[in-house]
Amino acid sequence: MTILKVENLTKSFGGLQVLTGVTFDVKKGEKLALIGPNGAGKSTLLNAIGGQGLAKSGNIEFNGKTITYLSPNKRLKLGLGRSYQANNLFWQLSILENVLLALHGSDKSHFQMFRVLEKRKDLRAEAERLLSLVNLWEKRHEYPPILSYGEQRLLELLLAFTSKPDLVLLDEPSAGLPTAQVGEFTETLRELAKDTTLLFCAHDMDLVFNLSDNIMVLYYGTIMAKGTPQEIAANPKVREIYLGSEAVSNI
Amino acid sequence: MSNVLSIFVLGVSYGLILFLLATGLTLTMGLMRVVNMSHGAMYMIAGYLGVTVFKYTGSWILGILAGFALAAVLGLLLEVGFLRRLYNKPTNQVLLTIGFINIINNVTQWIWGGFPLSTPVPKILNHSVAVGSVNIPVFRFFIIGFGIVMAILLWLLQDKTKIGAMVRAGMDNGEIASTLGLNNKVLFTAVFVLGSAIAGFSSMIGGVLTGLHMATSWEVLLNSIIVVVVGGTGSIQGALLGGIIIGLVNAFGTAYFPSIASFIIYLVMIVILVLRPTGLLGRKMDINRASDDGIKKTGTVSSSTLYLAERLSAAGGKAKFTLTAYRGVPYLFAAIVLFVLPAFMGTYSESMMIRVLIFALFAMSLDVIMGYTGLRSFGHAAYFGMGGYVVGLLAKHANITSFWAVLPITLIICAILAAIIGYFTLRTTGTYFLMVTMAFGQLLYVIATKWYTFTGGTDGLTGIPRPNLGFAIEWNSTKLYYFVLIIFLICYYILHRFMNSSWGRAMVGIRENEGRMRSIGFNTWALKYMGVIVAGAFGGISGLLYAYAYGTMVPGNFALETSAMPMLMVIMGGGATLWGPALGAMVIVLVQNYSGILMPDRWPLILGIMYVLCVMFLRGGFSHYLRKLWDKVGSRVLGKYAKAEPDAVKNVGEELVS
Repeated sequence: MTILKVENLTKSFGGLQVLTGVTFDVKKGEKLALIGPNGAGKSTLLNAIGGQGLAKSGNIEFNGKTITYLSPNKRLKLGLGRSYQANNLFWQLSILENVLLALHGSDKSHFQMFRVLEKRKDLRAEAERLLSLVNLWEKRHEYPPILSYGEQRLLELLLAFTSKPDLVLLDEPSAGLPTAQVGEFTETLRELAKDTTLLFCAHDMDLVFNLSDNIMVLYYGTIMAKGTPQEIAANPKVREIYLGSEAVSNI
Repeated sequence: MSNVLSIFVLGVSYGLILFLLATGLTLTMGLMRVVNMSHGAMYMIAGYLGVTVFKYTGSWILGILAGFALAAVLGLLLEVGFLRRLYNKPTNQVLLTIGFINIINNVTQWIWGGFPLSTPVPKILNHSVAVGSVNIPVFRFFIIGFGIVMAILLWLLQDKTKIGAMVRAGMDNGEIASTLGLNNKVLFTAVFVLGSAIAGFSSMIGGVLTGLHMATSWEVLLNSIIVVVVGGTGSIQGALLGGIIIGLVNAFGTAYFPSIASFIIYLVMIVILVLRPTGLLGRKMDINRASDDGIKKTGTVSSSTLYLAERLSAAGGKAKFTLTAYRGVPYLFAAIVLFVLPAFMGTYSESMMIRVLIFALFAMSLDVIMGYTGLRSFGHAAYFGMGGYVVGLLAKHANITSFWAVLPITLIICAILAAIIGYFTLRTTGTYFLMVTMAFGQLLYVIATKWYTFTGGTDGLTGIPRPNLGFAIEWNSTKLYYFVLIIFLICYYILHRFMNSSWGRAMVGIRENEGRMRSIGFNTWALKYMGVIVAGAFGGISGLLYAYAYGTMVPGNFALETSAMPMLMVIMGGGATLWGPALGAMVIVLVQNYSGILMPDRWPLILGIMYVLCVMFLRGGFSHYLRKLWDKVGSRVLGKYAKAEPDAVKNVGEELVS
């Protein structure tokens, strides 16, 4: 079953065409990786789907509804979460508050003007479950700036999953992590995304090949190839992009 | 026809003066994200000096040069001595420059006695030409010529020189420009001084049209801000277009619709704002750049105490009681002191405390959007004035005096006003929000001043009766004090609950990271809109109390000075708490009171100095320091339980301090 349908998406910044007629589907439960060289338009594509930067033309359909020009909060209500390439947290709120706020965000009403957020038992229980998954429950009263970079990264990830979304967009989830930590991070991510469809872009090929069911290659705003990790690894054009044409001809 | 021509010449010449003033504002705003509120004050004092130099030397040119030099020196002093240390703290910059308005105005009054000066015109230009049936002063043509020459020079500077390229690069992306080796510090100072110097240079020439008197500082500032909003920030072309539009609208409005002339330029601004929120030729404002506010982001109170609550309630019994006491004592203490105070005070001190409570509520209501949400509103007096005027107007025109009717009516009207203002102003962010709220506040000031039959014009509303509570009561200052106190405490409680609720926490989330709030599912616009309405409604209540306490409302209650006051109180006491602004209000009202006794003429100067000291040295406000102190006390008291029940409350003391 198709959960996300992107048709003919175009986007340009001034005279620079970043996305040209991008068309693809994501199936429910699929873990689709988006790879491509710097400047290929990966983040732009994720922003267009997430609502942070709207497309110029084309159509995005999510769970059967057109969302091309919807605001990010309405997309979340439909079941679309996302995380960012740079840690994008609430730095002056405690870790628990970060998670509670994200849980509150998927509530029906945001105008609970007398109930104290921290005292809501339902949200606290869920926050405990989530924070325990990433081993941050013990540190729940600390503030994000004192966490290690890896822990911040996990919290960043967690905020995208709090609303139990059907589809999560991840922009470079492992960005900046030391290689030694990526393995463990991938396991945590796999656990978090157990029942969720993923669309993520990454430069880290270990993460990509470990996590994804399918890989899509974006090259200067167009989709160049899509297939299983094995197919992509064997694709000569992809090898050319990643290794350079000379290297390929040498091989 | 000739009449139209005469109005056209007046409009264009006034527009070009506005352009010259707006240039300085728009450049510093585009490049440094600084709104120099004292721009108009510099223009004024430069004009005063220029006129004086002319009087003694007889040389018009020398007068202009003197004004030019004074404004340049003041600009240099302000930038290098103060603003440079406040980059990326927009709230502090705004308050600093507001402080400078007070200082410059009061010093001008000290030296020149506060009388309006008539601006001289050189003999050679001091005659008129007859066009048809009307005479047009030649000097207006001179102003137009001067304005055009300056516009061409500035345009050449912007587009054809290396400095201009640096400025444009800095506006587009300051960080990258500085990594490319553009020295921001020198560039910023140069642009700032240039802007001030142009204002000084134009003051002797423009003074003929704008007048030179004590109110010039604010008037000129306001009109140039409207020009910037209409034309868009960051470009000389925008300032030119905006200036000429506003100049013409003003001239034709005054000629054909004199009763609503000053209203029309605001209307133009609002229309532009709806159609093009960034102004006609505006650059897109990078909203994420100026993020670090002067408000010390103390996060939320609850977090550290919540931790304690969890651990101490595990310990149970006495420890839990001590914790509750620890958290409640300051509030209880304050409430008791406020209740028994009248026993130790005379009528005079009571009326002073009434003023403290009213302004405390006013400042707290502003803090809802300023400290908690990070929206810098410079038009909060709109609600204060409206609240008071509603009380007065109901008594005067509808003969409604029952407090139980007046209160809900005031609340509803102020909430509706906030809903209207919020609808337009929330299209903008950051510096733009500040300017637009300022203009809206001023719009109400204009209405209160001009609609004489309804609002009493500049005389205002007098003889507003004391509240009619439905039973016979003989009002004296003690009873009035308790009346104000009870309403204050109720409002405090409601605001406290609001700001500590889920909604309140979401507001802090918006301040911290609005983009993320949207992607975790919040409609941030709706949340902010609610914040503006809450702030407006409670601001209205403070105005209502003011009307009851003083019996008089004047247009000054809508004025920019009234809007600036609670901003200072918030910064002084500490944003994102409620008691901080209340404390700030107390300090300011007390200082105002005693300086009023000791040196009544120098109060604005003292206030100005307070602004400057506050933003330069008081990081985080009084509440920040007091909380630290109280946490030390708490760590002592609660630390005891750590010994008694080591597992449950271990290290509690240290955590409190950290």
